[in-house]
Amino acid sequence: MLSIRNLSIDYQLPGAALSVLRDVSLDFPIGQVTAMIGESGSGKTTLTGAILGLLASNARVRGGQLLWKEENLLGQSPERLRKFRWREASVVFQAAQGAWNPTLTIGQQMLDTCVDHGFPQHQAKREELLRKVRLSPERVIQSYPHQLSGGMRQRALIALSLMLDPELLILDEPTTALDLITQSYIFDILAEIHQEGLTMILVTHDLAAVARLADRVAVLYAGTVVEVGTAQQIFEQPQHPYTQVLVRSCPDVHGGDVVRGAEGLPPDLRQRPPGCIFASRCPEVMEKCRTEVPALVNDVACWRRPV
Amino acid sequence: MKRIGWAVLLAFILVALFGPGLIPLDGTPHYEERFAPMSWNHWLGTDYAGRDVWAQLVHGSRDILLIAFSTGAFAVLIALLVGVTSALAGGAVDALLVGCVDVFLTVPSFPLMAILSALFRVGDPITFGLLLALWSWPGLARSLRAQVQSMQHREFIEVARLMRMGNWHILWREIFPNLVPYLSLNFIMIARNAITASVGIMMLGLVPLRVENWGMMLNLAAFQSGALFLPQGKLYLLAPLTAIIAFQYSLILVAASIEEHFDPRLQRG
Amino acid sequence: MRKRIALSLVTVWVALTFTFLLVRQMPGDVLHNLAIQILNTQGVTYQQAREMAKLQICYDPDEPIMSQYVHYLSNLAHGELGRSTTYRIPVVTILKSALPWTVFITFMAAGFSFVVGTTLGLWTAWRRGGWLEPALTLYATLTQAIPDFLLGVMLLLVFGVRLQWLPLRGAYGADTDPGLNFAFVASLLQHAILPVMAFSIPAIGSWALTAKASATSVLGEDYLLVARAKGLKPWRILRDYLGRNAMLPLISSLATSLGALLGGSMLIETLFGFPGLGYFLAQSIGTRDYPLMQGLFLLSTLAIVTGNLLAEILSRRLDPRSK
Repeated sequence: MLSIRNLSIDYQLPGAALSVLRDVSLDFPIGQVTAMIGESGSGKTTLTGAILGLLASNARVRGGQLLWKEENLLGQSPERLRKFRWREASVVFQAAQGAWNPTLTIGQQMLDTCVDHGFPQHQAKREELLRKVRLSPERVIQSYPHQLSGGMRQRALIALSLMLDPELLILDEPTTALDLITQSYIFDILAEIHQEGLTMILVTHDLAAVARLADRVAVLYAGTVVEVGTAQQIFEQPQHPYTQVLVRSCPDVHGGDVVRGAEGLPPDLRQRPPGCIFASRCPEVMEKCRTEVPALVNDVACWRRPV
Repeated sequence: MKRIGWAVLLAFILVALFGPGLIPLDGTPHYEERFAPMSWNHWLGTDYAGRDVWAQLVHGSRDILLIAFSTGAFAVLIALLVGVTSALAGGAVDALLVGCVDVFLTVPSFPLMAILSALFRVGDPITFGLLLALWSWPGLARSLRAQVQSMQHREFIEVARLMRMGNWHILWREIFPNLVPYLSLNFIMIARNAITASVGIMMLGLVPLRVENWGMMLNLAAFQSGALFLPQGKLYLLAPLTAIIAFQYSLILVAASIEEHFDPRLQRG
Repeated sequence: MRKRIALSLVTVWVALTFTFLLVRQMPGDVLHNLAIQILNTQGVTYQQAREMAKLQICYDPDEPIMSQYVHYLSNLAHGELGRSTTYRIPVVTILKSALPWTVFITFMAAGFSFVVGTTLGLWTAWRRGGWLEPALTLYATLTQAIPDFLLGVMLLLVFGVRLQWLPLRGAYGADTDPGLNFAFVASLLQHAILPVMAFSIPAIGSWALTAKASATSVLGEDYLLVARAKGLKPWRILRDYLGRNAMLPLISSLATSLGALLGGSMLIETLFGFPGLGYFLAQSIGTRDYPLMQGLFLLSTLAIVTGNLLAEILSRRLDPRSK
């Protein structure tokens, strides 16, 4: 459904260009939950911004395509993009207090998007969706955002995202900053939605969420895809050295292996080093890694794999 | 750009200091020469009584500067006294002073200043400055109090306390130097407001200050001599007007350059 | 809120007491002169004339201070403000005739500069970059240095004297008939242009900068991003997401500044001969007309206090977060 081909994006800073995504190619199959994991700064959020055409004003697309059902979203007119947003693909942001407009009620904010996309005001649908996320419509529709708790606002965001029956749902850190009980609640809701066949992209650094929900996983490091695979593959048999570090660094509740993080520092994206982007921190680095960028072969981008 | 501000300000100050000595002021009316145009004799023409405008402008500069700077000085002093005392004393004294400040801030200041100036027949610039200062200090006092309060809990004060340095010492060596940039900016702002207010009061003809005072010149030009309506009177009207505006601009530029100089963001650079 | 009300009451009380003390500055011979006048025109004894004079200006120097004060307060409570010594009519009459003029010019000036200024400011923030932003900053810096009454003089000079496009004095032409007719209203508006512009030119700059700052901070909020992600039409984003949130703090500023304007537009009104509160206040100070001065000053204080209270109430009512 959604295919990203060789996408490269820079941020123009005074005096330098920050290369935030380099040559990223990914497919998002219909009906599946694809998770994108990686550290902060790996480019996950920029990628979601790019899909919706909502990049920062100093972002520059240096190349590549964003194919939505064979249509390249890059370079479309603002009006086409406006119609695309929410109707064909929608987003659930991290619900800091700021995601809801403080001067409108939740109900109003759920309906205004219907109107602007040419639909009648779907009051029934609004109630149905709120119930689906375990919220009481009578209470929530009249409320202003500050009158609801953080967990309620997040769930309401999910309801909001489904108002126009999108074909693709992007979730950006949907459970971060929430308590574990609310997180669990939200996982249940998302699992239900998944079962109904919605294609989802889950952007997160929370591996528990990935384990719970994802069918496929793409691992990003410093703006490049280093590994792709099914959730099971990634967790049980991580191939790329970075993935291995990432998976191992998640503490196991039941005790077990010693937790180790990666050594070294992330690279300076103003000056991408030649060769593999992980070379400076890789425990298995060799000469070739420093000079040539490994392509994604068999879902892994590493000169040492497959052996 | 900022240097222009300093240059102009300096020019005004020099003119105020030395000008009156160099250029004589002839107060006798020569009605046959009223509203004369620019000439070598009269650089900026004459007023309604045939007196030289340029000379008046030069002599009046002293008064204006005195008003501006004395208001600034008095206001800053009073604000310091009240603000710092309020912050350091705390309790009932603080509450009382804060209440006073609030009331002062709400009462309409311009009418009040006008009324008081007229009633007391303010005749000299320094008294005028004192009067104007009475309504300029509250805002500054309030923010000074806030600043001192926040400084009280910063580390260097704690250290000084631990080292048992006396309160006066803390005040003088630690708190005060940090306030200097803020105070100088406020001094300029107060001076600017004082000029506006004083010119306003003078234009209304409410105070018996000397005629060469720029505000008085404006009063005479705009309201009393018909200079507003006569084409020849334009110089008499525009000369003090331009001088006042130029002086205000120079103060704005000077304030901006002080701000830039003390901006911590630039200092760490 | 309670604190604000308490403060307002204290301020009004201070103003009252101040004007009371003010009136006591009145030299005794004013009373005496008025008494003599009454004596001559009404043929009563000096004692009676003196009593009548005291009533007229609401001031009795022969009484002990405290009872004077009590009398003063009770007079005020009855709306009795005495008679103007220059115009010889009750102060209240003058106030009633002057207030509408000041309200008219104030609301026009404040409204015009607010609407134009905030629109410019919001627009500049919405369209980041471009020439509008530095132009606006330059304009604001240039115009805010000039005191508004001096600007008024310059405008008067150019448009009134030189070009003769606009009238020089007064609130309306002497040749028109007050009433709801076209000629009168047109004359009214024509006379209002210069005073309104004198105030508005710098005020537009400052409103624009304030609005721009408010809008810029709202633009950085997440809900603006969500609004765009929702595929909302641009005007709806501008109105419901940017507009509402950016304007909220500005509305209460407007109320405060209205109050302040009502409190002291002495210079503009005098310059343009506009018969409002400020004009009469300036006159009364010049002629030492104490009763009138007192009444006007009190009214000004009330106006400011009301403006501030209104601002507080408005900001609570409009912001859903305070409910």
